[in-house]
Amino acid sequence: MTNKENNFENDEVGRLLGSLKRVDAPGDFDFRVRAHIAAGQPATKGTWLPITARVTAVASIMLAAGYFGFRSFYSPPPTPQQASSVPAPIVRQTAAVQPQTPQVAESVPSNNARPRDEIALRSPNADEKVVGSARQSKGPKVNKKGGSFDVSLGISSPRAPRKSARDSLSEIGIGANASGSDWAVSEVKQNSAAERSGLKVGDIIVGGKVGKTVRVRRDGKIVQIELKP
Amino acid sequence: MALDGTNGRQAEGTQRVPEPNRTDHELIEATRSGDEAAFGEIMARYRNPITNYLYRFLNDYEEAVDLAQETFVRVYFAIDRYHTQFAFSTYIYRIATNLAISEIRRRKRRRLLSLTGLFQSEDDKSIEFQPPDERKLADAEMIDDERDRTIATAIAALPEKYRIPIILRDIEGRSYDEVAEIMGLGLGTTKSRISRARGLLREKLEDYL
Repeated sequence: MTNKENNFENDEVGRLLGSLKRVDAPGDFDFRVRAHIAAGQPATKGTWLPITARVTAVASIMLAAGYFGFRSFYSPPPTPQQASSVPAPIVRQTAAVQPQTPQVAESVPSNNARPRDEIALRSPNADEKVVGSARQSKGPKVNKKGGSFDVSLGISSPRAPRKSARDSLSEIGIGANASGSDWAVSEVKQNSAAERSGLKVGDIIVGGKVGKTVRVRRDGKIVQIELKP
Repeated sequence: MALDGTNGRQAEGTQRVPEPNRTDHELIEATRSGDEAAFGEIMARYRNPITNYLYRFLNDYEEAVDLAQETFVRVYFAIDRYHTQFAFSTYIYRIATNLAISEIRRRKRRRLLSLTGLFQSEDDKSIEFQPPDERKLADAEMIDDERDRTIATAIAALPEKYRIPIILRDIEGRSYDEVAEIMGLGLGTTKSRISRARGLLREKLEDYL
């Protein structure tokens, strides 16, 4: 049946293995088997569920760590920006802005895209408190002739300073004074979007928003005025 | 061949009164018709060989006992699907082998995970466990234990395809035909694997030969 030579050669290994001490099942073996059987379900070992659960846990921790690490690494350091911009007076800001405008006006046709359609005006009372920091914002590019304004609301980051409502209004040529919680138009600049649209001194801007249209109270009535760029 | 499964060695460890008159297949038929004592007799015949086989396979007594119990639970629940054209011993060794292979794969996965250092596997400590022995240790016995440990480690280091047939043949005393059936291989392949396994062990165990 077996290769004799092979058998002879390896017989002693077989004998050695056969001489190993045998182990027996423990005394409560039958009892435990019957307990398993009574429980009804054959215990399933080695399913993939535990390993997937563990891998998922590790993966989600690494993802979360990576996300926050990425954010803290790439978010702009807020302190230097504020520090450098605080001393800059508002006069210089506007001066820096003004020279740009003719260029833009010539090169850009009138109905240019506006990234933002609406400016939210904050109530004058609230506005006065932040006027100092509001001036830190990068000068908005205003196009008085050509008709597009690029006004950043500055809400992309919570640290970005907000622009004052007064500045926003002056961009479209309105000088305004606080009137309670609204803004009263005290001046309409010549050749401004406000003048072309027909805004007049004495109008009171209501609704807190200036977008494509602006709602004003004039002689006790609410009038909606379309802003012509 | 091994239909009755009642050779001397297997009957040694039984605790209840053996029923040598009934073959394995008769006991299975009786279990199917609700005779719980018949299943107890099946356990009495096979619990020690299966435990010993799994212990040599896994080199871990606790795990071997767990898997041996699992083997019998599976036999019980699948008893209606069991076909009598195979010897019952072949069938039960095959179940035990498959469970042990799954267990080894599970250990490998666990070891892989523990490499990350995030999870410590508490089971790894028990691999070197030796079955408790109440007898006083004489010098000769200590030498025997040392020898057994070396052999067990050498067997455990064999690849599965050599480990399974050599344990079944040389430790469990199964015939070549039955080893081939348990492994689902041809007789020639089985013999050559056993021969190769002996050759590998011979290199490692020279001191004891």
